[in-house]
Amino acid sequence: MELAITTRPGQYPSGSSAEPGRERVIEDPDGELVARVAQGDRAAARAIMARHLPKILNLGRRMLGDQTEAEDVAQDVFVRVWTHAARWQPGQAKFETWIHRVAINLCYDRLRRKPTSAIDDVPEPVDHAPGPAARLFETQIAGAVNEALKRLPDRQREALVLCHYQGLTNIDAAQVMGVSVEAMESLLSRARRALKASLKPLSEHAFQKNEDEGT
Amino acid sequence: MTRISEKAVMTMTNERFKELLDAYGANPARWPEAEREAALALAKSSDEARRLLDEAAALDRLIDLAETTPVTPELQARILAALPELRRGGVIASLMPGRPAWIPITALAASLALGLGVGTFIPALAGIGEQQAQDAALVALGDLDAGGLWDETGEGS
Repeated sequence: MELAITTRPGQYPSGSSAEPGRERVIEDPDGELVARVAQGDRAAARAIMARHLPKILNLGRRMLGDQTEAEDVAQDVFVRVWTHAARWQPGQAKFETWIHRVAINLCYDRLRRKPTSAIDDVPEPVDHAPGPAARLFETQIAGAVNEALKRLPDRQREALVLCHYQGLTNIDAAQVMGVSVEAMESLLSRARRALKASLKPLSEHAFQKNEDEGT
Repeated sequence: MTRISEKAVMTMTNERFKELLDAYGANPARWPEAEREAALALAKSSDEARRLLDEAAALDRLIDLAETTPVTPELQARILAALPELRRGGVIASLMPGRPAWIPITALAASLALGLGVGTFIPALAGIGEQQAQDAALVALGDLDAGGLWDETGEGS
């Protein structure tokens, strides 16, 4: 598998160029807020918390599979935001990318302390028998999806969480993970393939629903 | 996995389209920006592409059903409770806006050191200052006839 970093025309979106030979200038929608936080502006701190806390909290939830731990991670992330705001260098990195990197690192700190966690384990085939899919309520399905997420190898789960749930671009997600776009894409494919296998009974129900609805 | 090439960006192949769906799912917003337009064009022109798109969308719907954790007021309060420390830092930082906080802190420390140095090396001035401080303390205590205090320090009588 090719893991080298490659560039291609148009790979880097305008405003966040990292193309060779061009100065890296990043437009950061959070830059002004972070600067105000550094000055002790509580309204700015509240605003940046309102903008990012829900996503960071759910990142923790999906990486760790535990609400209490997710809340602790979210708190630690924002304490770091408050303490590092004065040292923030606008234009060198997007705040959103940085805060995701911090959150992911804190999640890995906790995952390493969990005896049952194993980074990049090959997932065991899942014997998932939820019963007749038609009787599953949405909350039950949600629980099954969460369990399937937990069973993913950490790096695959990280790729899926960053791209699918957090909505980061492939470039930003790869940057957070410290890998090439191609490597991140490979992890993402494996994650979705594993989820598809885990959730096969549910996905068959979804396909059936599609056909019933004529979509 | 096929290495992404310039050709693949310009012309979307069925193989690359399937790879995109396998990785990013059916929502074009998640597709790589450079390949989005070509992938959408293929999806409009190919029955097979639309079938793959529907299949990926079904998996997306399941993934989207994962439980979410709402932000509680308690968590917000815990996070905001860390702000008083920030506010103190902010006051110091506000002495020199736009500069790192260590600059005003260093300036304050240098001022204190200079004051101590002046006090140490100019005894006459230091003595005046000490006497004034003692007088001020006695006034504040409301006891200008504090003979006991002077006796105890050995400086009175």
